[in-house]
This record gives sequence, structure tokens and C-alpha cells, in this order.
Amino acid sequence: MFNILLIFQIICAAMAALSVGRVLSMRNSISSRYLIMTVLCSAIYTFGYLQEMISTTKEMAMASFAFEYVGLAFLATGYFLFTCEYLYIRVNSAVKWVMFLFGIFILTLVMSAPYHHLYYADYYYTTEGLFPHIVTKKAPLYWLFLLFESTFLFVCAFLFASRISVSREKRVKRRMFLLFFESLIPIGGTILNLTGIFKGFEVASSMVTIMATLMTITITNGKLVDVRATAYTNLYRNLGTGIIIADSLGNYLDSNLAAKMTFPELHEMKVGTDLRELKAPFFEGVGEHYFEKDGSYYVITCMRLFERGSNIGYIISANDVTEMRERVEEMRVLKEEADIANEAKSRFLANMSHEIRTPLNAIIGMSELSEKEESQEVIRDYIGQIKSAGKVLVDIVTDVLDISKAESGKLDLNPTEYDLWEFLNSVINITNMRIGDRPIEFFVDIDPAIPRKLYGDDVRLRQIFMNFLGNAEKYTTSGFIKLTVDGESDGQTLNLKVSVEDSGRGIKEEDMDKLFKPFSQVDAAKNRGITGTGLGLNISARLIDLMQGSYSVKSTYGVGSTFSFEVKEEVIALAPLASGVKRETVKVTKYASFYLYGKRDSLVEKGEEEKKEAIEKKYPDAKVLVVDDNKVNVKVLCAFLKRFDIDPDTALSGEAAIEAVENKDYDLVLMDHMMPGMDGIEATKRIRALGNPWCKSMKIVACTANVLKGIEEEFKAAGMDGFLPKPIQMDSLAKQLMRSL
Amino acid sequence: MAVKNLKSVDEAKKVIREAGLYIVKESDYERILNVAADYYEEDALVTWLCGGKFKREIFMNIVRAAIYSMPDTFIYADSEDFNALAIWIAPGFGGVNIPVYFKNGGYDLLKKGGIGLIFRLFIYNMYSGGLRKRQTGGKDWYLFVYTVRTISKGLGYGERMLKPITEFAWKRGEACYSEVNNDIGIAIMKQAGFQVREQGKVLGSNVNHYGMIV
Repeated sequence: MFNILLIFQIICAAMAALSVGRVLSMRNSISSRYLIMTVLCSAIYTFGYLQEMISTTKEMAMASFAFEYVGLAFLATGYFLFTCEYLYIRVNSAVKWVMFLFGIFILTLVMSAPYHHLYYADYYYTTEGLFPHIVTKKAPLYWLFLLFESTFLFVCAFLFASRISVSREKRVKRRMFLLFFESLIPIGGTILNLTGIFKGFEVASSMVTIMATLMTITITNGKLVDVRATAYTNLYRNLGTGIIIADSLGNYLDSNLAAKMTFPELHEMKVGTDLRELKAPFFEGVGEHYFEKDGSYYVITCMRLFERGSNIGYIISANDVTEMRERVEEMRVLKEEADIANEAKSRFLANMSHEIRTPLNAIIGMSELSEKEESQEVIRDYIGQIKSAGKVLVDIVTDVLDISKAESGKLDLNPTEYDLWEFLNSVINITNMRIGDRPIEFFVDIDPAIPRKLYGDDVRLRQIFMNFLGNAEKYTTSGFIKLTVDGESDGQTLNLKVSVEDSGRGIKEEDMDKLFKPFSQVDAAKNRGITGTGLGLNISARLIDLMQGSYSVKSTYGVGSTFSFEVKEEVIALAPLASGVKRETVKVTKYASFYLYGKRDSLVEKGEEEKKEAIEKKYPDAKVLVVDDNKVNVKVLCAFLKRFDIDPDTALSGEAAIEAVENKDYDLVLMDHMMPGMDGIEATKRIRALGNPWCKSMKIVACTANVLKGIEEEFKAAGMDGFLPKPIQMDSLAKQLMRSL
Repeated sequence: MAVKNLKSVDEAKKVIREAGLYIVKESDYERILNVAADYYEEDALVTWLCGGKFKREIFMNIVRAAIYSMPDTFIYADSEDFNALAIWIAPGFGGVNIPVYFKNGGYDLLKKGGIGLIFRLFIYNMYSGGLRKRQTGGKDWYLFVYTVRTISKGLGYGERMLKPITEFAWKRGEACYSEVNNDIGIAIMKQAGFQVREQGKVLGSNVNHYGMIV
């Protein structure tokens, strides 16, 4: 029987040893130190009891008692503290100290047991029972210790039990239940001990070992390892922010991956190397420090670690803010641009209102004067001025429309055949006229070998020419303006190079890149006297881009500027501007019509004759209907038509137009586009759908102020035969009439 | 020991003067208490200490007793207008002069506050003492009171007021410690280089409590 018990005890001891190994091999965590203590104490207790079993004398048994109590005295303390930490219950350090001191006190009592009767009242060696063993008579302090131990074990069991109901997770619930049950095992052992059922054999030590082993299994299976500790470690390793840990002297201890990526030197760095070698602002003091490395920006923050008032080390973090910085920089630039654009637009509006107001004033003033004036001659003069003011207004609106088209990407070219000689003459003559009697000399230097007949958008090209020349004329008060035109042709395309030089006020270096931006006139204060919307150069630049050309400007402030551009035009015929003449620079005579390299046949002159013919033609029999909701427009149009001996009918809405058309066979209907209720397109569609035979064949021409791209196609689709842009000009009306009647 | 502490306080005061801040004279302490009480009316911790409702007298007595009884205390403001106000306690903690403590409000606290207040103060001191000890070991520049006039918040007072001292302490190799109980407080402290090291709730209260150090 003794041998069986001995084997049982040896198995227990082995189990205890294994548990110790298991616990020690576990990863470090906050609660494991007390678990290690508990398991170690149980192992010591078990080994001690094994020693006691095989002891043969009273002295040997007493010595093993002392050994046993090294474990037993701290077992309950260890187990209780483990429980508390495991369940995240904070224990005051004073309580811990009291528990440890009590353990030491008990241990001392047991070791000095032969010299007093405080713990054991008496003890003797007996050979009765299952095997020879020592028998002790317990003193009050023994009972006190027993009470202390059992109380704490009960408290632990209670704590675990209290968590069973709280835990939501089934797994945790089960683990808490197991721990609760295991906490009760040693109490059972103690009770068995006291009953003396085993006649000398004390089960308590093996029970404690079983508890410790089971607990180890339960906890290690359930991952005792504190999640938070693992999380912190992982966080540190994988954080996007570089972290370097240094000791109090600033020597390297550890760093995470991000830090190593920022400072590759850290890969090779040995623990204890001075981090100042990295030449980064690690230890510069409170707050954030900026640091630039390989084009990236970092914010470096240093945190100090303290223990008992002294600095024990540093945590340095390096946060990559390159992207953020770039974004901020982008934002700053964008904001600046937006501010500038905003300012330019405000200035443009102010400018614009001034620009529009001037011709409007002229129109209103002159109209008022005309009302009171009797003399036909004076009135005609006033009307002439009103007309030119109106033309200025149209120009302004055209500019604004162009820019809005350009901004919405709708600006496009409308190429036709044109005569370059004619073109240049008209451009030069207009500029010469604008210069007037100011002390400016106007030179032209044009290569006579440039082909004359070209294919391109001459209207837009004229806009560019007039803009460049107009600027030169506007900003030059005295001196000269020189127009130089060169051409390089390969027979199919012509590279037209134009430059306009002036002796004007010039442009400051810093204003150069403002030149081609919309709504900006450089040096706004100084140039207040100069009119213009500030759109011209921008429109020109966009047009040149559209013509696949390039432009440049050279200028010396106060001396003068040279604006040049290059565009590609297609060549129709190779005939040059002038043959048999040498290239020369010509001074344009003031107030005289200029003819490049002498007067010659014009392609356009024929057109002029046509125009003349068109204007002079009369249509006394024509039946014309004018449809417009605006009575003034109707009046103007009727007045225009009267010049051609036409007495038109009028309709003030789409519905009225349909009614009129149903009853009368018109030759021509001039249809307004935008009308309230039924618009021109809708009205045309309905007219075309009417049953009367003339409705299919009569000419319908749209009159519209809406000249955006695509509108013409829409008109055609609706069944219209042509369109007249508003404001209606005599020439175009005449042409249209000739075509339609 | 006392001499050394006084010296560090004097140095700190020099730093404050150089930063263009206004050191509060002892004759102005009563005014300071009134101003601080105005600014602290919304403070969650003080409200809890007072038993759920802010009581001006209690707050003033707590601060008054502390600033009179601790020789290492120094008080300064941004200017004579007291838009922002800071009370620091230098490291070494010369100890509380008990008679002075009781004379300047400590007795009133006992008499009028009742057992509840004493209990809460005790719990708070245990808790905050523990926090502080874990972080800095208790040897630190302790920011006891810091407050800004409500309308002056967000004007960078935190940095102007506190950074001179945090930088000064850093150079001396000493820690600065403070406690806050709201997000705005944390943001203000961060301007001066403070970082959150610990957070929790005072036992029995619902006040979030953050321990911050530089």
C-alpha cells in the first residue's frame, strides 16, 4: 500500500514539475508571474511531502516540513494575486505586502517549530497506520493559517464564480466555471486531511498539485496570455509610424519596422549605439521637430519615460507627413490661384461695367439729343455715333462669348478659303486708322513670297492680328509699331510667322505670365486709362492653340515689347503675294489706304460688288412674315425690310405665326428662336406639319442671338432653311433675302 | 533640500518672466482664486468633488489651502487681465505646511464640506497620487491648475503659457505632470508637448481622467 501511495506521490511531483515547465515556457504576460509562483509553490509542496513520506526519523520529517512550507506558505497568496490579475482586479500593494509578510511569518514559525509550541503543540513519530509517519498536534496559529488559506481559496472560487454569469462568451464562461471548480479542489484535500481517512497519508499536497496542473491546462489552453500585451507588441511592430526606443543616454535599444524603413541604418545598428549618429532631431526637446530625408518629411516627437522621478529612456516617433505636406502645399497653391482668379474676375466685372457703360452712355445720350434735335444732318451724325457705340458693345459681348466658349471648350474654327493679301491690307488699314494722328510710325515688313490663297479661319486669324496690333497701338503713345510677317511653305501647309514690335511701355518680368490669363490687365493701377476687357490676349492664345501654333512675348519694361505668334494654314494655290518684287520694310502713310506691294486685283472685290448688288436689290412683291415676341425687334426688322421695298406681316408668338401661315402663302418667314410659350423650332415643326401645300415649301429663316455651336444643325433638323444672327446686320439680311426670294 | 527647491522655483520664475508672462504676486492670490473659480465652473472633476454641483467656496478652499501651504508653488498669468492662469508645483515637493493648510481653507473644508467631501478628496488623492507615481515617481513639475477664459480658448494660450516651463523642465531632465478630464484639455496640453500616458476613472465618479506628462 505504501508503495502505491509513494508512486502516486511521485506522479504528482512529476506533474507539478511539468506544470512549472509549461508555465515557464509561456509567453510573458502580466498575470503569469503569479501563476508561475502558484505552480512553483505547489511543486515545492509536493516534493516536500514526498521527502516527508520517505523520511525515517522525526528530525528528517521536521526538515521536510520546513521545505514543504516554503511552498505552502505562499501558495494561497500567489493564487489569490493571480486570480486578481487574471480578472483585472487591482490589489493595493499594501495588501500584497501583508500577505507576503504573513507567509514569511508562518514559514519562520514552522522552521523554528522544535523550539516552541506556537504552531505545533506537540509532535511524535509513529509506525502505526499505512506507513511510519509523523503525527502533529495543532496549535491555534496552525488553525489561523488554515483559515487564512481556505478563505483566500474561497474568495478566488467566488471571484471566478462571479465571472461565470458576467461573461457573455461561452468559451470564457466554461473556463471560469473550470477555474471555479479547480479552486475548490485544495479545500477538499484539506478536509480529507483533517478527517484522517488515509491513516497518515496527507492528500492535500497531491490535491494542490492536481489543482495547479488542471489550472495550468485550463489557462494555457484558453490563452492566458493577456490579449492586450500581445496587441501592444503587434501594434508596435506594425504601426505605420516609426518608433525608436532609446535608453536615458540616447543609446539605441529597439525600433519597429517603419522606423527601420525610414532609417535603414537601424537594421545594422547594435544595441547601445548612440542614436545621435543618425543626425536626426531626436533629442531636441518638447514638441514636434521637422526633419527632411531623401525628399520625405517627418515629424519627430520625443517622449520621455520616467520612473521614480528620473528619466529612464525615450520613445522617439517619426511620422511621415510628406503626403500631407504635399496636399497642404497643393491646397495653398490652389487657394492662391483661386484668390487671384477671383480678384481678376471682380476686376473684370468692374472693368466690364465701365466698358459697357461708356458706349451705353453714348447711345442713351445721343438718343436723347436726337429726340430734341430738328436738323436731319445733326441727327444723322448722332445716329452714326450711336451705331459705332453699338458696335463696340457687340465687340465686347463677342469677346465675353468667346471666352465663355473657350472656358467651356466650345471655341472652334470655321475654315474657309481666303485671300491673304486682302486680309493683310484690311488689317493694316484698320490699324493705321486706329493710330490716327498720334506720333506713331507704323512699319510693315512682309515676305512677298508667301502664297496668297490660303485655307483657314480668317475671321479668327483676323481676331488674333487685331488683338496683337490693337495692343501695340493701345499701349504705345509715341514711337513706332512694326508688323513683320514671314512664311515657310512646303507647298501644302504654310507656317505663318507674325511678330508685332512696339516702343510702348513694356511689361515687367513678374507680369509676363499674367499676360495670357483671362480677366487680367497687367499693372491695373497704371493702365487705368486704357480700355479693354483684358480678354483679348487670352482669346488669342486659345485660338493660336487651336490652330496648333505657338506664341511668345519679349519685353523690356519701359522700352517696348515684341509679341509674336506662329500658325499653320493650308495653301490652296502657290501664287505669291507679289511676284518680282524685293522684300522691303514699308512705312504706312497716315490717312491713306494701304496696298501691299501696290494695288492689284482683289478676290474680295467681286464679293463687294455682290454685296452692293444684294443691298440694292428690291423685292416689292415678296410676302414676308416676321415672327418675334419683342415688339422693338419686330420694328427694327420691319424697318430693315422696308429698305428692300418689303412690307411684311408680323406675328408676336409662335401660335400667331402658325395661324398666319395657315391663311396666307408666304415666300419667307423670319422666325425668332427664343419666344415664350412656343419657341421658333417648335413653331417651324408645326408649320411644316400643316396640311396646306405651301407650308412644306416656304422658306423659314431663324433669327437668333444664340450663336452657340450646334444650334444651326438643330434649326436644320426642325426644317429651317437658314439663320440670321442677331443683332441683324444689313449685309447679312440682304444676302439672306437674295438667297431666299 | 529646501534651498535647492527654492532655487529651481526661482529659475522657473525667471523663465516665465523672459517669456513675457505675468507672475502673480501673493497679494493677488484672492483675485486669482475668484478668476479660477469662474473658469472652473464647468469642470467635471471639481463638480464631482463638490458632490454633483459646483460650489465656489469648496473649490476656492481646495486651491487656497494648497497654494498657501506648499512653498514650491508658483502662479502666473498671461497678463494682468488673467485670460489664462497656471499654478505649478515644483519638484521635490517641499511638503505641506499643515497648520497653514488648515488656516487657509483646510479647516473650512472639514467643517463645511462634510464627510462626503473628505471621502471624495481622499479617494481622488489616492487615485491621482497613484497615477502620478506610476508615471513620474512623484518627482515632477506638477501643473496643479491651468485654465483659460472661455472666450479666449483656441488662441494658442496653451503653448504660450505652458511651453516655457515644459521646455525648461526638459532641459533640466525633469518631468512635467498634469491631469485633465476632457478632450479640449488634452488638446491644450498637447500644444505644450504633454502626452497622455494613462487614463481611467476616479473610483465612484464618472469622470474620465487622463494623466499627461512631458
